[in-house]
Amino acid sequence: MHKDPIQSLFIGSKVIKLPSCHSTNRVVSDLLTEDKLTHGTVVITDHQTAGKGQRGNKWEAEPGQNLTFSAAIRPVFLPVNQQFELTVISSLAIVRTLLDLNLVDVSIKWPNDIFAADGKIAGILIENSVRSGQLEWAIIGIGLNVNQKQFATEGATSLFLQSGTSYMLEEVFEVLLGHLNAYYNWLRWGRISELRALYTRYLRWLDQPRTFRDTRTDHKFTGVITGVTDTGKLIVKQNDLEKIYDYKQIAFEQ
Amino acid sequence: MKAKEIQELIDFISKSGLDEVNIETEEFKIKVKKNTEVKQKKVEASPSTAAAPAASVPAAEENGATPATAEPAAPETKGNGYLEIKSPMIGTFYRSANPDSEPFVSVGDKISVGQTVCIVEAMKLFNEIESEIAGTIIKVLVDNSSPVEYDQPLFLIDPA
Repeated sequence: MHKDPIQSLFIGSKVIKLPSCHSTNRVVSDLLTEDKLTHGTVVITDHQTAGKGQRGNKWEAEPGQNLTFSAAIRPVFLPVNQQFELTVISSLAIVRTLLDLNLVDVSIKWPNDIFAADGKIAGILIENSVRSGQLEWAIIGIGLNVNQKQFATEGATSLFLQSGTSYMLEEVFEVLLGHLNAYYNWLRWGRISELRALYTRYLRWLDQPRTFRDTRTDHKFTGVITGVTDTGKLIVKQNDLEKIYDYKQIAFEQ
Repeated sequence: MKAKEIQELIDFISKSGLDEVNIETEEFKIKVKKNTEVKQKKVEASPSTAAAPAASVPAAEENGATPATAEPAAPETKGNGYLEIKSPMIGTFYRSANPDSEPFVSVGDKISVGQTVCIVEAMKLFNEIESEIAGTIIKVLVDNSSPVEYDQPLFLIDPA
């Protein structure tokens, strides 16, 4: 299938830049439907008029201030039940980018929000198409707040708010693409345990006693995050007993 | 497009290290391509640097081509000639792209192979499930927003 594997693996080898669009994930999805995209194509925009978060949630980004882009990849080597690895590589790529740009306190709020200090600085929206039980395409949508100074959304932050300096969007984009490619290659070569170890290392509140709530019983308890399972479920230790939670089963309390 | 904007675009590409940039708006389409370094490509393709990864790629893909999930997602004939579309994974079943949008398919709809019939969400990853069969939707077997198991029937299809 890959006549030229090195070329064909490069995420961002082709970039479609749109001055504005409704949502980059939507654009990629539409282009895929029309069979117009090649593996690794990235759609980036200065102005997302209807940025998407999880199921109907909005993504807030001022025009020209932030990175909003989506990458179309074909992870045909990845079994559908291992798709959480796509969250892992995307999260790590963002974390490493922020560290490269000199932020210090960077973490992954499980499962897929990136935090700088106590603010959400980046979000990930991954949408796959599944054909015959296999991943046909994955659209990795990333919103990273760069130069925006004020947010209507409570708890949001940006690179500027964290560091006091502005950044060239092109530079941030290039660094991020570099890391995304690197971690995608880790995944291709099956370096799953290393990816998992890194993801765990950057987990927000790792090894710190916190109050959680089991959303099924409303029971509050103190526990410690110790990691995630193969499928991305959260492992929380309470009274020397490790329990596993889907994200709909547990809430973080203040 | 103003000359200044074109200049900015070229700057964007040259700084970014990207090979190609396309811009499309309603008014125009523009495609700017950098000179690809043919020499460098040749080096990458030479056996000394690229043979090992290139040789391993098919193996990696072969592994992925036979995941445990490939089989059970295949349609299954019921006694009355109806087929089932089954969930390829554990997750939450959604009938529409967003809470406020129309369902992908409803009872009585004719569907074709490759058409998206639902979303199964797992750990905040959203999976559009494509039908492997053409036919008419007889029944939607799962309520919107409900958890589904791997291999659980989602739709009953009349292939006739």
